[in-house]
Amino acid sequence: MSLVLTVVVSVLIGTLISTVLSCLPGLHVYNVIGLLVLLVLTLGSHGVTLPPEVYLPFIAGMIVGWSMLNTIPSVFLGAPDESAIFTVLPGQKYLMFGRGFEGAMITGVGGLAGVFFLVLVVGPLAPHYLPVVQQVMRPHMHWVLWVIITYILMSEWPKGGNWGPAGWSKFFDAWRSLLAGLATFLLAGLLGFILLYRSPVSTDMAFQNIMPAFVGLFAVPWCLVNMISGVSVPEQHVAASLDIDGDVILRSVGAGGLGGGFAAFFPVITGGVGGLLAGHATAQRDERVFLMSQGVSKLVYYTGAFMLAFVPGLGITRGGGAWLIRTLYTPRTYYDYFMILGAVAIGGAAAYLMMEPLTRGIIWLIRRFNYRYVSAAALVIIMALVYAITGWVGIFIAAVGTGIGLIPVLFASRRLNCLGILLLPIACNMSGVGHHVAAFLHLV
Amino acid sequence: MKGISHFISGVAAASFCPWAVQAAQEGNPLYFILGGAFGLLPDTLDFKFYRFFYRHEMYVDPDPENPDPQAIADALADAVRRAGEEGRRVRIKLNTIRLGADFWRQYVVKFDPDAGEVLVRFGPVVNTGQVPVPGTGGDERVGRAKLAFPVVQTYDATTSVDIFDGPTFAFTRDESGRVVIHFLPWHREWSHSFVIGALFALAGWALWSWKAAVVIMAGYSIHVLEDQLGFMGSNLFFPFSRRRFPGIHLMRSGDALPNFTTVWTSCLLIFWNLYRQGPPSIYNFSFLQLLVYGAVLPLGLFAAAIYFVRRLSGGGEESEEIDLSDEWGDPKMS
Amino acid sequence: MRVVAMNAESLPGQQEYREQIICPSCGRFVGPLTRCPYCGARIRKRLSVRLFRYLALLLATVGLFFLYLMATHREVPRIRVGDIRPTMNFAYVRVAGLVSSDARIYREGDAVRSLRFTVDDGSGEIPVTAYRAQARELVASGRVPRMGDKVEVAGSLSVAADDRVMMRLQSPDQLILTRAELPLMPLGSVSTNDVGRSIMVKGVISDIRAPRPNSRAPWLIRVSDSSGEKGISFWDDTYAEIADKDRLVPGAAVRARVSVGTFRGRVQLRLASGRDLEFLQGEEAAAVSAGVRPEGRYERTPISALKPSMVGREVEVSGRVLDVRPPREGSRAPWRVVLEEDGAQVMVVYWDKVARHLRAKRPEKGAYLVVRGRLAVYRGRLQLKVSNSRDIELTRAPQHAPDAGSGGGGILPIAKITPEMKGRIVRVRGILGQARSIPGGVVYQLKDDSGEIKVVLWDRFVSGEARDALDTGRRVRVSGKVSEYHGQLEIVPQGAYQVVVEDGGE
Repeated sequence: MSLVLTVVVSVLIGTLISTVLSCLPGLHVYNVIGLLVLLVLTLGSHGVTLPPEVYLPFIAGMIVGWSMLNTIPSVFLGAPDESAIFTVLPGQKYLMFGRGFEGAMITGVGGLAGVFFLVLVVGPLAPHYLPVVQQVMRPHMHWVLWVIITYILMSEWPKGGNWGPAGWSKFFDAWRSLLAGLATFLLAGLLGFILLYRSPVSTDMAFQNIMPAFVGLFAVPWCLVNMISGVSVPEQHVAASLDIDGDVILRSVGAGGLGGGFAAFFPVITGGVGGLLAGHATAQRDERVFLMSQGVSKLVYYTGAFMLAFVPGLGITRGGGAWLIRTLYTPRTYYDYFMILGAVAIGGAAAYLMMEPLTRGIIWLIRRFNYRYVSAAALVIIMALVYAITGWVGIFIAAVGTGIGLIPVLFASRRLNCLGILLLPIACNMSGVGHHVAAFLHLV
Repeated sequence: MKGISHFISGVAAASFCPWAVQAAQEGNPLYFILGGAFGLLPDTLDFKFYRFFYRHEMYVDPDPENPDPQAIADALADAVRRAGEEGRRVRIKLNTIRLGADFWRQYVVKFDPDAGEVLVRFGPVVNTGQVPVPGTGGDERVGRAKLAFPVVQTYDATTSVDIFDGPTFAFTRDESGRVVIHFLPWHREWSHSFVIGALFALAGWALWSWKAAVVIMAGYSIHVLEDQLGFMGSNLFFPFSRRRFPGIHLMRSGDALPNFTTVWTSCLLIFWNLYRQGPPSIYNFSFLQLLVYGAVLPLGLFAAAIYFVRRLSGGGEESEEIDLSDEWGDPKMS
Repeated sequence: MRVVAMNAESLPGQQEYREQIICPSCGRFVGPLTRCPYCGARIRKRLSVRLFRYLALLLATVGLFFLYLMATHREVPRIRVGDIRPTMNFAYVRVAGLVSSDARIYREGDAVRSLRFTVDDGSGEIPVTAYRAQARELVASGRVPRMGDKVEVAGSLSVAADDRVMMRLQSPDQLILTRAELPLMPLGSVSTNDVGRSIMVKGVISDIRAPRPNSRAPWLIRVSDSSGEKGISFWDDTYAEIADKDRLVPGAAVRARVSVGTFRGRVQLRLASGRDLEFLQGEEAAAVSAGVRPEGRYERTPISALKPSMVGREVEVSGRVLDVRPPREGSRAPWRVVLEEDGAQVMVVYWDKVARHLRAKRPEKGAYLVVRGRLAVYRGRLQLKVSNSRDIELTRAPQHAPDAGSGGGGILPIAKITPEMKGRIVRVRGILGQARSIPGGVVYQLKDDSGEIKVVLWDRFVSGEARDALDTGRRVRVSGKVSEYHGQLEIVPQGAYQVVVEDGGE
């Protein structure tokens, strides 16, 4: 088979698999790619070496497909990953008014716009401009993280304290959610320190060290809340058209591209954080722009971060996908870069074409089966995956993560605070104080 | 302005201090954190602390089952009357009406100084994104009450009360016997004063060094100055003055364009300061080149694209009202 | 269904469990609250929601506590380098072995950016990198691993494609270092067979060649012991680490821990850290100095015994300098020094390349020298040709002024510097005044209790970076050549090492 055909087939298969997997709530594409990397390495140790033209486009397709279609469970099953924090509420609003199909499709259009943005805007410009930005920013990444942490903690809006006479009771009512957010951030940060310095996960599976914690922090709480929720999903209307126009798309690309791009370029910042910052900076009010820009942001974050690993002359690794492929391959030339750009474009087109049938399929599923059973099934699959990769220790870590992840859900604070698991220890390390904190905690 | 605009402006101010960049290069993020934190602090003080302790003389708490616009209008007119007759400050709080986890009943209050009356009308049910819920149209009834004294508007004539915390009005009588309407009297008072900024800077000096004090003062001051671009103004010299100096009415706190412009400009300035104060780079560029590649080209192309798309669709961006959560900047959907 | 009644239709999502989200007392929406914020009534909730809220807190805190206990009671697993697999990326592990090459320290300006060394545990080698704070702590505490040291180090693994494996040291405390006992080797016995080894050497410095300002060349010092002589090279940042730079002068007895390498096919010793150079004192220094002169190479000969028949032989003579004749400007002629001993005289000649390195021991009238060289005849007269600066030794400075070069000479009050001392090296101590830029350098005013004099720091001798530590008001010790410019005397140091800040500073 010619090289080009190999790449096209690989990316299409990868996209197809990921689009189906992305409908499973809580299952992160990086978990699946982790398994894939394991498979490639195992094959390699048995003398079967796969060429990069097979597994790189395959992985690119998986990431593009997942980042575009993962909106579907976000809207219909309410089990978002950490970068879909904002998609949840507006998406659920659409769902509760019977317009879940439209909500999912608007976000999907955002994903498609994100692919255009990546391939046509970022693709040609990145090799020329990003190395300059990286060169200037390299010694400053640590304080960017600290400044973002400060903003996340300072900018949360007090959810209570809106009624009643002035005084301490009103103050404490307001601060309950803020304190819960702060507690979430600190507990997640402590968990991060433990996992970074003394992870109980077997060293043989260390490349998935953080996975059980992420599952616990983000996926399990939503599955649990869905399972105990008393809400029934109303009948869904499949719309023939979408309430969007060119203006909405452009503004969404602007906001989402900024947020996703920022998150993709800076280490440890995730799509959720990028979305928060871009949402604030661009002062979005239109829910359609909000929904669509989250679609753009999510795609630009996941796919863009993966793409950056291939930008010639840049030499940075961002996002779980890029870190995972580092163990398999080191991109070096424009050959790799153009291959990935092509894979992203093809994968994006294929994923968008899968959007409508899969959305209809999910609508059929939730009409036929109880919303709670779907979430319960998803929970079982995720936990089985955690067990398969990291064993009982991973289940224990996921349980602890679940406890922390439930705090913001049940106390109405930002789930973004769970990102303390990465932000706090890595910001400390980058500023050179991480080992002092670890020593204080008796971890070293 | 929104919180992020103030915050990033404070960070940008810090980046002008050579010691901040120097310290950052050596792994110390303190000055940038201080710049951002004190850039946001004036609003933090108001929204996260002071407003919960601000006492009101009157509370308007509409009945969700039987929304009566006339009762609200009467309460507001009564507050104006008391302020005019008794010559003291009267504070009144309009509570929001929450109907569900994501549903709020909206109502609109309008002071009409020319007609000497206040009008209240109930609007639709809205979600936390302030988008009306389909099928929940507004109420046709309008509550109308005559004001006993002529009033002076210092802010918008119309105020929507819908999500989260409701607004507060304070009424005071001036020398000419008119009643001045102060919107959100607990906001941009003592907290938005250069003097308070200087006190924080002194504390920073005691805690760290004069360098920290400079950054704190810069971050705090830039917040106060940015707010002066708007309508409400700030009490710039509390405790030496007791009133808010009116803003210069260039923008509204929730407007997308000025907020985005501020954030983008701050980012470019930060980048430039890091570049010029950093170690020699293999890439060299001038400030003009940065402006062209970092602002003129991308924003120009984006603006042109928006312009053409709107011309094709025949639409335009609607002007937006001000509300409390805009001032803070937390997305309503988070 | 109050809300529904008000809106003429039900709001989505609120049809179920209404009794739990609407206050039964005042009829307002209370959501998940258990007490109505409007009227204070208690609201009964389904057990599950309440239970989960507290279960979450319990799970988070108790679970985290147990995880923490588990982590702190777990040994960091020790692995063999050869067993590292790609799936171990990010693993926090320990390895133990021997350091297979001296640690390299990378700097950004004066600050340490990172430090890297390689550990060999028998099953393979792994590079270990410490960044910024960790690297600085290691350097500051003198725990920079060197070849042959035994280490046990813990850190996180980075495993990339193409078998690129690295360990990142997260905490300096997790580097357990056992210094290797190094053999003391006679310099003469160090050969290319020793390349790659770390050794200890002891000797006397015979010559110092500082890199020219802005040059990227290393420092080179020549050290001799009784068995021979070798060059020791080191970089500027290593020089900066030497604790007592003022003692880095010809004639100083030192002990150094070096690694053996080659440069242009010749053995060269490399000093990795300034801490590895130790200045000897007292008896140990005397013992080293005593044994330095190589026996048998040069014939110790009185000047009066020099004869034409000895031409071509290498001889050592000593005597008092009667005259010093520098070459004319632009001429390629040698320096000529007339040496006298017991009434007999001999002409000593050497060229600029030797004169440049004489520095403090530059011959002056009245000084006593020991000179080694090859005897030759020029225009019918005997002369002693010197080809290396270390073959000229100053045994006694002239009587009229203490030699201030950098050897053992005393400090001269500024007022005692006279026009007659032009061309001589003096050593003074004082407070720096205002700096003034001149093309190609900077002029400082230097003041002591007796007077003041200009100190000219040419860029080519004292680079801009080396001048960074100097500032108005700093107390410095300056050695340099006396010269005159527009009728005013000035001191011109010949290298950064001749300007030493004495008041500590920042």
